[in-house]
Amino acid sequence: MYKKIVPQIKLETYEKEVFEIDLDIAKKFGKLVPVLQELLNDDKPLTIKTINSGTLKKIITWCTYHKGRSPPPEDDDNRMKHSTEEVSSWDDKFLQEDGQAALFDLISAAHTLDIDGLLDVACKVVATMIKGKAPEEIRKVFNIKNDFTQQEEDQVRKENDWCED
Amino acid sequence: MDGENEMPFNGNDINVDDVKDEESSSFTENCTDSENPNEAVIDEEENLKLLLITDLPMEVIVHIYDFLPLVSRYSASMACHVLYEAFNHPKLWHEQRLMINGDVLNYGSKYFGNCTRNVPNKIKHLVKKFGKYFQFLTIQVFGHLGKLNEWSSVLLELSQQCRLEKLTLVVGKMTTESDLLGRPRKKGHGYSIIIYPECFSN
Repeated sequence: MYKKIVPQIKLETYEKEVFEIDLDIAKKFGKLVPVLQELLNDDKPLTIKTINSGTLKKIITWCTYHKGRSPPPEDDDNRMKHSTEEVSSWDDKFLQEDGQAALFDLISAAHTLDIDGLLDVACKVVATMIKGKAPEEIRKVFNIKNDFTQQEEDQVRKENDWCED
Repeated sequence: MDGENEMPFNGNDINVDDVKDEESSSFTENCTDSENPNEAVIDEEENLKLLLITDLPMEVIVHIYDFLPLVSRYSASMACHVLYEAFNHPKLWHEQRLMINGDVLNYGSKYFGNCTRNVPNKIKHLVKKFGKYFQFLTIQVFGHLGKLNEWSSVLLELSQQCRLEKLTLVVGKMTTESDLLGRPRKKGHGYSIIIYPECFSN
């Protein structure tokens, strides 16, 4: 009856691979926690088809590394401050080592699983890639096409060039 | 089988707040989709595609912008339609901090008394364009203010169009380095006054 000492939850990925995750790690999964707790006594895994196994492994690694490290408290002054300076070198390396598409997979999964800490730090890494670059450079970095017509581009520039003041 | 796994989602209220509503409904949809026999093929194709920044949910792109200064948000908005859409998203402008620079040099002298500097163009445009989205506003005052001059019309415009949930006024003696960097003030350097509009409606 008490065969498991650490309660675990089961998640099934896109590849139909089932992962067993300690509940104290899954506690980072924000609003999903009550759902996962409900599933504790259930033998069936929760299927999340939008997340692949590689990404889930990364997420488990991240959550394990950050277990017990709570995010810095948000006081009212801090709330206002959005800075890209605070990404630790561990996080930076961990998030970028598999390339950009993997990073976006991870962001998308962190959003689905509601892991605020991971979402924040990953978004900061992407913000750093944008900072200080011209539109053309941003397109190049992210491999996106300019889908504005010349007329639209002029319009957007006219509308918001006050940002450059 | 997948259909059964969907149950806990429908049976539980997992909506933490309104903001998350959209997200949780798309989550449920994803689970429901698995009943479709053709979906495995579609999924496979989608999975082969490498994700681009523009494939992320709009809410997430807006969150990336949260960490960028105005000029970088603008630069990104010029890259393509999706990134332009994120720039115009109301949520991006919910939190704002405006700094009013008073007279620092003549502080304490008999000549003090006027907010000599004009409102920066950027602030005028920001209030005009996105002021209606401001919800958590901090107004920080540096130096000595006598007459607000140009600021009064900007603040008036703001008061007419925005729907604030919280207004914080930071007033104090002098500009400190922490203030300029947007860091929390050290104790003893001025005061924060926080106003919650709901206090008045009750």
